[in-house]
Amino acid sequence: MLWKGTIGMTQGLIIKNLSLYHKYEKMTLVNNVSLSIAPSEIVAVVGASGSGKSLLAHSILHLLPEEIEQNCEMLWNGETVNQHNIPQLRGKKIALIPQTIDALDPFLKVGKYLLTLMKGKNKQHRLHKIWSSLGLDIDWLAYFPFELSGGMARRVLIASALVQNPNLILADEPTPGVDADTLSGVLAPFNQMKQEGKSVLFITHDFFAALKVADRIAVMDNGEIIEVSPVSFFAGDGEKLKHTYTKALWQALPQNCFVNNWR
Amino acid sequence: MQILSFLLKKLTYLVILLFVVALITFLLVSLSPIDPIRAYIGADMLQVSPEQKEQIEIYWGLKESKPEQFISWITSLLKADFGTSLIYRAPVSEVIADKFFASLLLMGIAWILSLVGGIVLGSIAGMRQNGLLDRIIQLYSYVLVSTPGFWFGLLLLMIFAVGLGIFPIGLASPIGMLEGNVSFLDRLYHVILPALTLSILGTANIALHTREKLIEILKSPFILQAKAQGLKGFSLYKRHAFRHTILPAISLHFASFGELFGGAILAEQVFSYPGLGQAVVDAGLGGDVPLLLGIVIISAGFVFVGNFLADVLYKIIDPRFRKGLMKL
Amino acid sequence: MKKWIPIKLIVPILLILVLYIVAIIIEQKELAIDLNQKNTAPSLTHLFGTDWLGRDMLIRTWQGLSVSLTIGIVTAFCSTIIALLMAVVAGANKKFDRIVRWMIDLFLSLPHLVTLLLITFTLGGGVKGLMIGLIVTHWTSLARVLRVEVFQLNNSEFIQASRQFGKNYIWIVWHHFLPHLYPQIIIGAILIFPHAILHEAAVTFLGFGLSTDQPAIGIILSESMSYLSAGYWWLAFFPGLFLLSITLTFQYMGKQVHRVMERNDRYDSGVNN
Repeated sequence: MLWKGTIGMTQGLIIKNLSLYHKYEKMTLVNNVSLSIAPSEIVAVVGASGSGKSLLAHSILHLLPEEIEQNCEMLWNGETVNQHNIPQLRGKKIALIPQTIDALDPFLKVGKYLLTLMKGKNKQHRLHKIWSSLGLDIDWLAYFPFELSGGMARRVLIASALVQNPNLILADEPTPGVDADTLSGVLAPFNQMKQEGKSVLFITHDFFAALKVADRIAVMDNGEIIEVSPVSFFAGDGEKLKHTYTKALWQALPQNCFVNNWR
Repeated sequence: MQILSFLLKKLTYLVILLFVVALITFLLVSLSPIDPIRAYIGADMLQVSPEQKEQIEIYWGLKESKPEQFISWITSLLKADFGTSLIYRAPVSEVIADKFFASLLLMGIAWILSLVGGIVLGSIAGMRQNGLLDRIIQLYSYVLVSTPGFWFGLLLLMIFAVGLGIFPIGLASPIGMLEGNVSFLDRLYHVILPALTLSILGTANIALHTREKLIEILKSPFILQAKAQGLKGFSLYKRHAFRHTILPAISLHFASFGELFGGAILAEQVFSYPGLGQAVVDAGLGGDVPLLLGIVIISAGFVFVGNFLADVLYKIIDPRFRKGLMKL
Repeated sequence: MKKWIPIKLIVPILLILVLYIVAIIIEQKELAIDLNQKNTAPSLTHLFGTDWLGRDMLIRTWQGLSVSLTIGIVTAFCSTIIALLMAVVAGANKKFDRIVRWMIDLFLSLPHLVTLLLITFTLGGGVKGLMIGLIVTHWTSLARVLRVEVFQLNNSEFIQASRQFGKNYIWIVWHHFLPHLYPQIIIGAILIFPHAILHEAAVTFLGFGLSTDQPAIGIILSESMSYLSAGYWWLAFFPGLFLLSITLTFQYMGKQVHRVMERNDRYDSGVNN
């Protein structure tokens, strides 16, 4: 159970030695990152801004701008993923929850946009189901993206990733500016996805949110993954954690500061 | 309410603009060394006695002071009275109305064809950026932009009318036919070649502009997300790029009514198509000042309408304006 | 600091120079009238064919080119000066800026060709009328570009600083604006050129510009109209093609200059950093 994401895994996504290099700036953005995500697993990637974590989602979908050179080996359900077969996976198998509402076409009402993405029968019905499971009002389907409030937008973006019923969801910074009180509500859809057997790559700078939702946590710093540990390792003084940076992150959390001071 | 004040603002602008254009045109003409009577009568000037000349001057109001002339001209303009055309011997407003229809047919066809052609070419080029098709379309557009329009018209005339004999060499209607008997098909037949000339020339600018816009739009976050949703190629273009691309293209096309008008002047001359363009040339060469001034004013209004539509278009189509989130 | 000038820029400049010099040399040459050779199709002795008086069309076209190029150069130069003056005036204060914007709007409110016809008409046509018409109508688009540049420069920190040191506007224009604006000015001037000669040819073609005894491509083309139905295609085809190649060369030159300026610019900033 502990190491379910290993090389022998056939289901889910495996990334081996991902490197990203900026051709014009002549610098390495991401270096030798390896990561795996199994079905029904939530893996959080945590790191400060500029650590390279946001490039991860787009590099999985092979959607980086052409000035960034991408080198890696990627397996989806045991099959190699490359430039040629990724278009068939995008959206349908691997979907992205974008960071901001700018990612939706400003000329299209959100409901219409989502419907055009869907295939098969009962589109309207399925959409309504997803919509209401996220606590969204049916009337809001007729809204333009710029008419949505911050909280509504966040949930609509999640809905946009779910309409094609993918197996892996890449969530790019899905909890911006959410305070601790409302956090569990915001995280609920991700737990729901897990229940349904989907995998989630949860990219965030919010360490606290990551601890609450993830099964495993990958810590990124300076373009490298310095540690991948199950969430159970984040306990006590952090003695099970390998890297000092991870330990520091853990000990800097408010509740742990309190524990330390009390001792 | 917001719309009303917007329209009011535009209308005020139009009135001021037309007044200033009228004033400047009047000043230009009255300061010019051209003697309107000599220009009008031409070679027969020697046969006109000084008394007759004076009578004409009084009749045309040339004896009044310049400001008086201007005021009387402006007041009659307000009554839609542009004076009498010297070469057509008819009220200028009638001449213009008559010619304007022919020109409008020509310009309308050319406007639509060049818009569609330009958007298609520009979109292909933009979607295939740096590909072979893109290079060909760019080369085609750059060459056309540098081409003398009337020469291009002459080429088409030589190929299709003289060489192949498919189209008539000139005139909007067959010679010897009464204006009333000209069928719409006849008109269409005569308008094809000049309209084709203007259309082909017009595609170049729109194609280049559309290409640039499309490339810019393809970099926007919602296109990236659409790709992440699995869209690509034509369906990506159709669903998310098309509307964003044609909006600026149509807007630009409206804003270039002035160039369209200029092109029409030349095309009408080459194809002997009796529209407003030919009338303005005749008026200039024949010293027909009232007609010339009338056409100048009308063309200013025409350009204004184009710019106005270009401006308004965004506000109708972009939902952010419709919902009143952005200011008119 | 060595600036880099590519062969792609030298070739079109040399081409234009050679064409122009040859045109000036042959301009005075009286063309032989040979009525036995009238309206002959292009051949090795007459590459562009001959006209109704048996004159060689290549020489006629080339002579016409000299007038076109001269008019183009003068127009480009004077219009650029006007555009620069307008931009500088607009930068002086808000009131002037509004006036300049109005002037630009006013000129753009009429079809360009109509304005040109109106001005050449009132000035009585000829080279003088045509030239004035061309000059006063070709400054607008460059003025628009320069006005925006000046506006941005005016708001930049180093110019604010110069102001605080008590430098007057003329000083700032001379020491700050011109060095910054010169790439735009050069490119703008080059791009005015093809517009100007196309308009010159068009106005002349319509009968408002140069007089019929002058060698000009507009005249040649309007003359050719009478011979079209007779099938004398070369009378129109080659002169127009010649004109097109000139305008294309200038467009190309403008593009290359743009590229060089961008490159040098990048090089400069690279050194400064």
